[in-house]
Amino acid sequence: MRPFFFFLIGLLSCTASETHAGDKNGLSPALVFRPIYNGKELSGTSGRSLFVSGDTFSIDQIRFYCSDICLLDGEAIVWRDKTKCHLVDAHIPATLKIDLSKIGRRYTSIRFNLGIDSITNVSGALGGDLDPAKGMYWAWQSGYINMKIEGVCSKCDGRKYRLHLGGYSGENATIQTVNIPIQANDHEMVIGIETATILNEVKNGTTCSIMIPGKQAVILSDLAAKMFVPLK
Amino acid sequence: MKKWLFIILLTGAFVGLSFTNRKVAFFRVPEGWPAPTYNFNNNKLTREGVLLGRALFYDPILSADSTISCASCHLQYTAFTHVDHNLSHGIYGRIGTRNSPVLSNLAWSRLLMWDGAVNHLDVQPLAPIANKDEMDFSLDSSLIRLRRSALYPSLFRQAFGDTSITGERFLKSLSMFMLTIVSSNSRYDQVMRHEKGVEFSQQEQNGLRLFRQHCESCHKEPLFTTGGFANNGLPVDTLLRDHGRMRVTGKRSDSLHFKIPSLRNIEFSFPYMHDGRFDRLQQVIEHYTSGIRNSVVLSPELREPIVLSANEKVDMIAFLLTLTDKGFLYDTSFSYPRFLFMRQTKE
Repeated sequence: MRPFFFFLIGLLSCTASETHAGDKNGLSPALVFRPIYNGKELSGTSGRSLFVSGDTFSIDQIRFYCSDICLLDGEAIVWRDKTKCHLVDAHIPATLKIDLSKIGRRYTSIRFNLGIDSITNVSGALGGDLDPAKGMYWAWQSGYINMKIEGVCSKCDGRKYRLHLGGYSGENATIQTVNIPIQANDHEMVIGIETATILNEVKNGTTCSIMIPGKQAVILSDLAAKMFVPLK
Repeated sequence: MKKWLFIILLTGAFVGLSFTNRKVAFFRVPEGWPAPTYNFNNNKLTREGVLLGRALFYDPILSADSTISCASCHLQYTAFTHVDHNLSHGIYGRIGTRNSPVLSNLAWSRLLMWDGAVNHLDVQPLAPIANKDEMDFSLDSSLIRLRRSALYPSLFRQAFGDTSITGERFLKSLSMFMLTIVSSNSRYDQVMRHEKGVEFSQQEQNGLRLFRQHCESCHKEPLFTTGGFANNGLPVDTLLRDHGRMRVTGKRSDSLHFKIPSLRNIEFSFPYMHDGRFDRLQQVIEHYTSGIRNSVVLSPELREPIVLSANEKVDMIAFLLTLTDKGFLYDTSFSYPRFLFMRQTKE
């Protein structure tokens, strides 16, 4: 009994000595996504659209998979999320905040994947956020849709744009790694999603519809990764 | 104290027993067959899960107007394909662009659909449910209907322990049923197992020899498919303009490549080919001996002409007929679960 007691004390003191500012006040850190359009915060709580500009442009839906969240100190991974992936939906505020467990270590950046890795894509029926019933899975050809952005744009045929970015295999792979430096280990790591980065392609009429894996989806996914920027 | 311990142990035993009852792994790999490709660890077969999947397979509730079930295009008596239609028809009498493939031995499948667009058995049902010519519905809407039905909440509870009806459970139970559809008891199988009193005729034996010489490279025994894709020299149908696997991969080298089907129960799975263009086996043999359209994308196995005499063609067909597995075609454990739906009607 006595050795176990000392071991427990040792373990606790070791953990306490490594506690960093990120976990101060006993709070676990959280990753917070804040969708914006040209710097203006989008709100999903009122009405159908997240953003409306007259009758010529709107943002109606932003959904994406955020997977394999890691915190890094320099190049070293100091913490890895046990939850494989999170489905983030701009219309559902609760999904915009991902609570991370206590880190207890210093970290300088956060890294996550935008999308679903290829192994998960060929693993059959999965549950939770990966349940195909969540509407982020293609029916006609197997594979997850990593990101969906939809809305109205008067320059598009039928006035609708639909960007369904996905594809996991070979040159059509669209998963993106996002790295964001963390300035201070604040309780909340707020990451902006500047949708204009990708929606300028829609507004200038270049791309209005992507519904299949391929070259276009790869190019737009590359652009989508650039939407994620640190806000504080 | 002892009393409490006894109660806890007894409760644990009951829970354990009910758990064990639900988890009955009864998938058997036929003697001499390769290991299945399906990972049963991620979806352990249970009697209740298979029964639920079977109910779903036969229930038109999964189509927009509740008229079309999986079984509408996959009938057991014809090796789970749509007999007598070159192109399968679905909801509102709409005609699709392909002949529905046979379903059997799916535990050994890799890519599904004629073009391999589906990468796992579990997610296969999503395609016909959403296809506007087949069931014209969605997974989400199907689940809403199932949750409201009188039958399914209890079937899900029996299969998974509670009444929660999720996409994952829905798809896994359908897989469970489809995995049980194994055909491994044709006369060919019995001969290969050296069963007493079962032999090939001289004609069938010669057919097997010719088959192994000319067809085996693609229709590999014992599954009678490699699971791969091939361009077998069929000219493209100018109306359907179906280029098969190229649509999925985007590679020109995959043009007119279609999945190599298993030949098991071929006697009953007519019409043949991805678009059902041949009604009879004789036509199929004629295609391979004199109808192949040569091209740069023709599969290499078919570049050398196959030469068969009239008698040899007959022998080949005689062998192919030994792949009929009547026990499979009439196995009541794969058939319409009347007892379930009758119970629902009475209730």
